[in-house]
Amino acid sequence: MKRTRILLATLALVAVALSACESSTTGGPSGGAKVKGGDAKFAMQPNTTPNYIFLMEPPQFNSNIWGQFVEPMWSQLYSFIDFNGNPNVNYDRSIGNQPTFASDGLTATVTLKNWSWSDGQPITSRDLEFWMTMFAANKGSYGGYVPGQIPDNLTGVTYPDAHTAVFAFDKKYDQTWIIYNQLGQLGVMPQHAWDKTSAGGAIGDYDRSVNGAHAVWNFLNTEAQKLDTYTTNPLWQVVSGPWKLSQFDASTGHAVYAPNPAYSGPDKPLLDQYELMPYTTDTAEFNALRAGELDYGYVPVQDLSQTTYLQSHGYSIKPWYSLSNNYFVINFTNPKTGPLFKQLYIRQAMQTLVNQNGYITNILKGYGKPTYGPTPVTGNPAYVSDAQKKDPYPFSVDAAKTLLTSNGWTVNPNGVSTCANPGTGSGQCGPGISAGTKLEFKMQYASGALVPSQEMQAFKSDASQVGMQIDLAEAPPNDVFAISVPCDPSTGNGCNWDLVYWGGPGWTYGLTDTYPEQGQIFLSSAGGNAGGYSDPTNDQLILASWTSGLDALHAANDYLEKNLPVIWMPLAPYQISAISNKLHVDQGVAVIAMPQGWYHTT
Amino acid sequence: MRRLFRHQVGGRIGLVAVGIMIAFSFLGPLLYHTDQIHTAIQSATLPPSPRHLLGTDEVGYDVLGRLMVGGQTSLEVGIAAALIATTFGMLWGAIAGFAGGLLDAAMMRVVDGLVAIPALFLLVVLGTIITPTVPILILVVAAISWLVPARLIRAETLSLRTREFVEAVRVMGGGDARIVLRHILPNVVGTVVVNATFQVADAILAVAALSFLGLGVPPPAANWGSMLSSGVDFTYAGYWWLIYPAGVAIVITVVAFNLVGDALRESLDVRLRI
Amino acid sequence: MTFYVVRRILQSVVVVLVVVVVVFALTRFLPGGPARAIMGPRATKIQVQNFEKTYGLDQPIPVQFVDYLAGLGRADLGSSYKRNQTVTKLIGEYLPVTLVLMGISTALAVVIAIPIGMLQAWRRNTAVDHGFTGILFVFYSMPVFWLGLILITVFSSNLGWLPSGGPQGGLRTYGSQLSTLILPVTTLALVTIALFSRYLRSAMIESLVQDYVRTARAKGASMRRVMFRHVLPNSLLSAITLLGLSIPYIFSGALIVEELFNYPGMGLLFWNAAESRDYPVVIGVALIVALATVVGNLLADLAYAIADPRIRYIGR
Repeated sequence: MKRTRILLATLALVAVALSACESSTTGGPSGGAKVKGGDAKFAMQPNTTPNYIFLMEPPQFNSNIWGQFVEPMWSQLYSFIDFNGNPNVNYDRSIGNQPTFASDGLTATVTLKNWSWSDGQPITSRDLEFWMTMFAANKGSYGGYVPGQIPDNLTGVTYPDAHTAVFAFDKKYDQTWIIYNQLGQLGVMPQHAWDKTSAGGAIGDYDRSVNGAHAVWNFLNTEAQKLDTYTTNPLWQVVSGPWKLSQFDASTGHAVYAPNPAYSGPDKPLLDQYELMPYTTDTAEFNALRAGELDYGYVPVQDLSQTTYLQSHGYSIKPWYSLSNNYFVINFTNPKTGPLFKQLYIRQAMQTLVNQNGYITNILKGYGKPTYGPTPVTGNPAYVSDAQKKDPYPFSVDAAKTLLTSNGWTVNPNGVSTCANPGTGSGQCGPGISAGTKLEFKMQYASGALVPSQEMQAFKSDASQVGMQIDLAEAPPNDVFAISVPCDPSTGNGCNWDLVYWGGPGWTYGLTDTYPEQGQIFLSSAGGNAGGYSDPTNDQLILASWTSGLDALHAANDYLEKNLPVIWMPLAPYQISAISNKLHVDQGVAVIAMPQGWYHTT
Repeated sequence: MRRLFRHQVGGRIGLVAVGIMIAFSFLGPLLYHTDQIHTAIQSATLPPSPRHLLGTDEVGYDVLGRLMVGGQTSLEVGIAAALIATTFGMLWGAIAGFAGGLLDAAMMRVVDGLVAIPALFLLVVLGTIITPTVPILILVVAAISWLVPARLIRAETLSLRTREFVEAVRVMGGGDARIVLRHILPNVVGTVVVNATFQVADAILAVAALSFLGLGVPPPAANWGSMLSSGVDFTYAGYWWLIYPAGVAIVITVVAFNLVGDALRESLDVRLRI
Repeated sequence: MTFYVVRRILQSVVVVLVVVVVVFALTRFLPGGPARAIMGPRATKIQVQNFEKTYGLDQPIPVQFVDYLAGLGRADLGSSYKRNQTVTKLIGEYLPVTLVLMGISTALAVVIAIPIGMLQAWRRNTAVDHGFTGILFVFYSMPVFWLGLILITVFSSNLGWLPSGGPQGGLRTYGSQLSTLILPVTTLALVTIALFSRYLRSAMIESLVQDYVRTARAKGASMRRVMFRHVLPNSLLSAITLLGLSIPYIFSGALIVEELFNYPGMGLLFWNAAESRDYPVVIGVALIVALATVVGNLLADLAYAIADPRIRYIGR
């Protein structure tokens, strides 16, 4: 046992060392000497402020800012952010040790380290059980729940002792998938402090009954609505992570953290203080950056011409990519245009009209990565198959034209192309497309940002060269989410849209799918399947990727790369960071700040 | 018409300016050809040069050409909205003022109520529901503008109602509708025309504000207001050609219409006094 | 007199109700509903259902409206979907901020516009008059947001004298960031001055040609005496009505200024809430704005009625 632990520890260290070498997004020159202490001010994204502290957050509060806010204070069972901020499981800073699997692959045994909460109480399997019971009873209200996945796929969980838990699954799944996407969702909550139903009530085992778990959840959720009490309410003072919240201004969102002296993990903070700075727009943040008020901020795309100013004032510019891809969605369920979208050649024509390299050079000013398929290219390279490293549909107006003419369309450049040869035979338009059908689609995209507007105008312009008429319409960002649902004939909801672009990123992998299988996005029944894409081969491949290892993952994602359930778009960075040269920072694709690894240099 | 402005220099300047802006918007593109349909992102945000006299915007459109095309929309919507608002308001006010009593009270309470609502707030909500087209934009601007002419015309009608010639028509057997249409309305024409001119000015400003807030017509349609909303993003980049020209165009046009309106009002006043 | 007051108050209540109904209806007709808008693309069906149940959105619309009215009775305006705070709390934070912006701008506007109007009336048709008319004309014809944009570009971006954002944080923090108030207030004040002066100038000139003024002059009163003893008080009456009528206009101006300067007041709150389909906040703010406008108008009308007895009888 001891040897295995040493082996594991060595492997972990090697992994850390390797990723430290690979990581190319560290900030600041490493010339200066390390200085202990100091304060770091980190700029939050515009108009997003922390507004929820409880760990089982309702979906509307499940956002990046929630993660930024709670991650420093509470550790999950497994940390999927390594020391460099990359989404690789890091057992060193996890409460749980690497799980072991039974020979039949149906059960996973998790052992916990001897760590403590900030009030001195030990972290035990009772805390993990507390999480599981609350999760099972309240999953409909919890933003992290994916139907069909944990806990639905468990046949039972047992807790043989205070530091062990055994998970029994309903079938044999791929072990990486289990660790990353199933066990990786789990957290621990302080049962000895939170298992109650009223502020003055006693701690009990309420969570062990479904009604009790509801009551506890309601109580904690209500307490989480009192934003002014985040630093005074005894509930939120019991933390397991490296930091504690020392100040919080509910109206501005300004948050200040101090180190948690009782933190048991290896990455203890070097700084004295870490602050989240709120800004209503990116212009406000950029002003603060120019004035030197931030250690770690970002440059809005429209101000990229100012980077030389920043660089001459002690900042380095480093793009920070998230674990995402980017695309705009197609409505396969639209009664009118659905038949058109169901034809692969039409989707292919559309994809060849997206000038990804042109957008990256001219709109993103070089800060962007092309997306060829669903696998995020910013994550673990092993997940990106060879096929996904190449562009199957490079930008070509001629190719788009050929696709259309060889399938029975009359192409009218700068007009509207029409179907001249209807029917289901080869060389004909396809089923459900009558003669004279126009190649015209409505594209709704998120307003308020420069880049989506530029991209969509350019796309419209390029598409017009083959007579594909795209009618543009802007809508507020939240609206575009509401619009893009599959068609429900009884209410008429979702039956009117053709194309919707959220503005990027398309899908961010993380909490529940760090191992990039597409079960939440492209399965026929998936919640994230905005356009109603339904392909039996695809369904089979995705389910296989849950059970059958890396090759199955590659196969599933390769199929989607070619089959175009959505139209792929270049991925812009989460932000173009401007980091003070005196602050050492690592930027990992989990795009959560890990301030315990930061330090000032002289 | 020329006689009216013999004493009002401002009015003449205004008329000339309006003429220039109309010519600029509608005739300009014939002389200065630019492509306002196809984007050219590789030539985005270029400063003024001989090829692009006022530079390019964020998707590569020529700014001067866009000013012209934008002027067409702004002027069309402004004038159409003003005409509709004035006509509707005029009828509403005349009927209310002439009818008096309960009908008048009811109609004017509606106006009072609507005046109390800051229109922009309602429009923001509306804008998240519907995608504007030019006709919708015209209707929306007209809908927030008709209240002022309604009040004005009602006040005028009230005073005209008690005049002798109305009594005379009634004695001769003329009905209410006839009185309103044939006698009241022609006498308020002066006020209406003055007000309509101011309405155009206000409508152009309203369209600009709506477009700035993102409630305007989507690209590639151009509009002075929406040109400015992209300009906001570039205040630090120093791209002055995205900030000043569209605003200057708006100011010139609105000042021009206001000057004409002022001059009209002054000259009509003089006539009335005689 | 009491009859008049009572009637006006009843009218005001009706107006406010109408506004609430209209805004309520508008939000309920947004296609798709707020659930997915707020929760984003990861929302599952069961989460959407839970959301709608929590916020009563699965009830028929009339029932929702009645619930809302009942809440109003308890001074409960609901809870923001996105911000996890009650609407009353949000309004309590943001309303004072907007009031400060509007209050200072309007006060400045009145203090500046009245003397200018008097000067123009006194010296009408001279170079001074024409000069002011010209400048104010241009400001009157300028879109509010463009004026603000130019001020930002010149004073913030080019000269670097003033910050380009409005004050952040609550009123308590204003002391340390007074310079951030300058540009937003200047923008709003300038357009309000332009609006007021146009009206005041003609109102004051009209006063000057009244018979009683000519009589006073004939009796030997100096121009200054006439201006301050007759024209100014009479014009103030018009100014009060004008103020009342201008409140919606100033509110709209404040919304644009707040959006431009990222000044966290009611306008920006409303704007963000409308964009993110945060219904309770949208309806709550619309209600407050309507209330404020209606109350403002009411007070202005009452003040005018007290001063001018003729009005009370005409309103029949």
